[in-house]
Formats: sequence, structure tokens, C-alpha cells
Amino acid sequence: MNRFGWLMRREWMQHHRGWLILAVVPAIIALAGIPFGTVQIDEVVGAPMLAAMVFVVYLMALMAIALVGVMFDAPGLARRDRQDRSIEFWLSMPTGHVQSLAATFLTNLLLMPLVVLLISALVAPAVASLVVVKVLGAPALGAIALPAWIGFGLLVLLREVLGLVFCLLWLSPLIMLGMAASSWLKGWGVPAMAAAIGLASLAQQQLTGQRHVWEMVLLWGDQAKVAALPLLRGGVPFKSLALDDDAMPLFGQWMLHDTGQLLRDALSPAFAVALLIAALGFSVLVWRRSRGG
Amino acid sequence: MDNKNQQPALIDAKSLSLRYGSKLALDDISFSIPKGRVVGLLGHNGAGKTSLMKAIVGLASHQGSLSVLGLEPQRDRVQMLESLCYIPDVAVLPRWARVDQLITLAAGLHPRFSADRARSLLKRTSVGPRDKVKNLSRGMVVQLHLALTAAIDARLMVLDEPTLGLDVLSRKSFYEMLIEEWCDGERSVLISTHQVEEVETLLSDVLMLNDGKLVLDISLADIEERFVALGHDPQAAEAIAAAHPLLRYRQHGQAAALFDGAPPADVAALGQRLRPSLVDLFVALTRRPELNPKQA
Repeated sequence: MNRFGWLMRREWMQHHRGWLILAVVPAIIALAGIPFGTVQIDEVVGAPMLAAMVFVVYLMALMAIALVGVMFDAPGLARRDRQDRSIEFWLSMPTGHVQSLAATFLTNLLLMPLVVLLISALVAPAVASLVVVKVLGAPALGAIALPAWIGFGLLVLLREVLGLVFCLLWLSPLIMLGMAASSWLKGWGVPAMAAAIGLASLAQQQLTGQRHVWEMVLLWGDQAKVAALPLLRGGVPFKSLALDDDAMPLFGQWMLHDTGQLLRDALSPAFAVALLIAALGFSVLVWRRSRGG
Repeated sequence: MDNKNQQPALIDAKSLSLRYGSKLALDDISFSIPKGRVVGLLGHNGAGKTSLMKAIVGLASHQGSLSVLGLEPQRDRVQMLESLCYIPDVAVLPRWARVDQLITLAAGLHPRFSADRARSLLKRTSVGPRDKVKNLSRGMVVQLHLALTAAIDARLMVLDEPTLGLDVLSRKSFYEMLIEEWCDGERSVLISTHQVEEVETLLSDVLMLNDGKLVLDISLADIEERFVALGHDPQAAEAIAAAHPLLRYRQHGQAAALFDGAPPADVAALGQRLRPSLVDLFVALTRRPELNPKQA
């Protein structure tokens, strides 16, 4: 393992417990709660479609929870090692500042939510099966074709992994600026950043009558939302969730279209500006770290 | 003179200055540290010790020339840290970690770290491999930190106030472990402290900072040659004072005076020569910021 790998391992050692709890607690609640709770489905659907819907909803709910976790976690990462004074110890190791910060961010902002997603993808079929049994009875499970089920699950998981990456890239300017602000202003960093964005938008509107700053931030938020939670974009053909021979090509077609849209959205000036600002925020954090902060 | 200047320097500073905004933390200092030395960096709080340490480990920008292990500390920081280890402060180990996790991580992150050596050094202490840092006492954390640092096969160790706030037993065992387990005659150590009396017996050389200026750079062997301490009777006090000693103080209940260089023969005849202690020198030189560092 190279040094970057060891830096990521250090992050895993420090933070894995919290992220595993984030993945496991909802799973336990779902698995333990469904047999004793009430499940109400308004429309009559077949077992495959019900299972598919539950799978998608569960995975996206956990994706949303993981993203909330990232948003809460990120500002604190910038000052984490200074808070417990261990920054001095880590700085005594022969690792570059860019390498150290990149390992921290990559692990905590991307890999940890990815772990939550993967665990959830393993749990989701069990949750879906429980719902099917609860609503339609155990024999209904026989109607679900395993190959179709696995194919569908992998496609959804792949889309969510891609969605997570793009969601974080769209949010990266806000995350990096929030971290940079927090490294100086501690708990006031994020409120200060929000206030600065608000004031900049207001000033722009007063001076030029335009609201580019505010619209840009809203656009980043919207793009992040549909990247992570593709159902919000709409257009999923209902029939494609039937998990039968006809449905799979239909679902695959929708996936292809949706992923294409995801990539097309990224080929935009707004995305380039987002990456540029994120790079600027990262540079500020590296500069701060090179001064021992 | 000792052979200090004939060996290749591990640290070589020339006209080194360091500024925080308008405040000058280091003011045009020059010194070198060859291999095999244990050098004390002495100075009051705010004298510039930590600023110098930060410059040496590549965490502060400076003016002038500074070479550490032949490298430029800020530019070549990663390469330099492979042969330089340092303890920047007391109790800065991550509190969430277990001892065995720190050993594993250090072995992965540092190419010259020996996990076996760290484990064997820890056997000398009461720190166990499954202990969490947050459950250890301050003294135990410092022992652990030294064991981790001493397990690095480096050429230079930099210690910034490593025993600040520890009780006397912890301080003693820290320095024992340092000298017995790390110093081998080839490696050098730079220890910053203001607990002068505790490190005096360990040191081969002294650098003394006052208000960012280097007021003394000398080997301990040369101190007695250069500085003269005279114990004298109270009746001789006026004559001694008239010779402008660096410091007048009391030693073992007797009045004494410290001179930079030999005092005039008639003054020397008024007292008995004593061995000048580092503490007295420290007090004398750091109370006299007007002393020209070039004289030192």
C-alpha cells in the first residue's frame, strides 16, 4: 500500500464506526420494523414491481441520509486535527499537504458514503422481500426472477454510485468554501459563507439587476439533487420496474438516457465554474495546512 | 575550539530571519549543527524557539538561507522528514487512536519507521498496545510519542518543549529513553526548552535565543574556557561590580559574579573561580538583550 492508501486507512480507522452506524441502523429499523408495522400500497402492483420500487426508494433514502452526513461532516474536517491538536503529529510524518488533505476528503466525502450505499444495496433486497411478503404474501416472492432482480439491482447501484460522484462534484464549491471558511472561523465558517453568498447576490442585484450568483448556487443545488436522486428528474417509465423480460431493456434505456443527461449537464459552464471554485477552496486549505494549520 | 565546524552540518542557517506580519520572530541568526551533537535551544517564552523549530521542519517561511540535511525545508519537506523526526509539542497524539493503530499507521506512512523497535521501546513503559491515547496520562502519552519517534531511523531529531507540564519522574524517564535509545554518536538532537537545569547534563552544545536574536552558540566544553564565574566575599562586592560582570548572583549561599572572558587580574584575585552553570548563563544573557550576538 502506498502512502496515500495509508492516509486513507487512517481516515477509515478514525471514522468508519460513525458511517457504519449510519448504514446499519436504518437497515435494522427497516428489517425489524416491517414485519411488525403496517405497509400500505395504494396501487395494486405485482411482486416484481413492488420489490423494485422498495429497492429504489430504500437505496435513495440511504443515499439522502449519507449526503446529509457528508454535509454535516465536511466543515468539521478542515479543523478536525487542529481541534484535538493531533495536526502536529500528522505534520511530522513525511506526507505532502496535498496528499494528506486529498486523502481526508476523498475518504470522508466519497468513500464513506459509498460504503453506506454498498451496504444499503446489500440490505435493500431483504427489505424489498419483506415488504413483498407483508403486502402480497410469501408465495408472491416466487414471481420475482432472480437474474432480472440482480441485473436491475446492479444497474440502480451503478447509477447511484455515478450519481454520488456527480452530486459531490456539483456541491464541491460549497463544500470546499465551507471547509476553508471553517478552518478559520470554526463553527461560524458555514454561516459566514452562506451570509457572504447572500450578500454577494444582493449586491449584484442592487448594482446590475442580475442574480447570477444566487442562480448559480441554486443551479448547483438542483443538479446535485437530480444527480443523487434521479427519480426527482422524473421520466422513469413505470413499466420498466416490472422486472420482466420486457421491462429490463426499457429500464436500461432509461438508465442510458439519464446517465447521458448527467454527463451532458456536466459539460456546462456552471459545472466548470463549480470545479474552479472547488479547486480554489482546496488550494486555500493546502496553503493553510502548509503553515501548520 | 571543538571539532564542530569541521563536520558536515545537518542544519546550516545563515542570516535567517522570520517575520509574523510586523513582528520579527527571528532576527538574522546564523548557526550550524553537525552530526553527533545534542544541542539545547534555550530561550524564554517568546524568544523565537518555536519559530525556529517551525522553520527547520518546513512549516514557516523565512528569509535568509536554511539548509536541513542538505535540503530546503519548505520545498523538500517530505524528503527531509524521511530523515528528520520531530516531537512538536506535548500530548499531540490523536486521542481517538489505539497504540497499535498508531504503530501500524506510522509503519505505513514512514519508510524508516520500525514497528518492532517501537514495540520493544514501549515495553520499557507502562503503555500497552491496546491502550487508547485518550485513556493515557500526559506522561504516558509523551513516552508513547518518544517511542514512536525513536523508532524512526533518522539522522536528526527535533524536540520542541517535549516535557512541558510533566512531573519530574516523567521528564527524567523521557530524557533517559532519548539518550539511551536514540542517540548513537552519529545522530543529532535539537531540544528546545526553557527548563535549562534539566537538560544541562545531556547537552553537547547550546544555542541561546533572546528576542529573536542568537545570543550564544557554544559547546558546553567551551563554556568554562570563555565564561568565568567568581565566588567572593561580601566585602569584595563593590570591586567586583566595578568590573562590570554579566551577572551577579548567589551560589551555595555565596555571592558570585559571572564574566564573559577573564576578569582583570586584580578582580580575579578577589574571589575563587567557580564552574559557571548554564542556568546562570541563561539568566545573564537573556536578561541582557543589548549584548551583541557577534560577541557570543
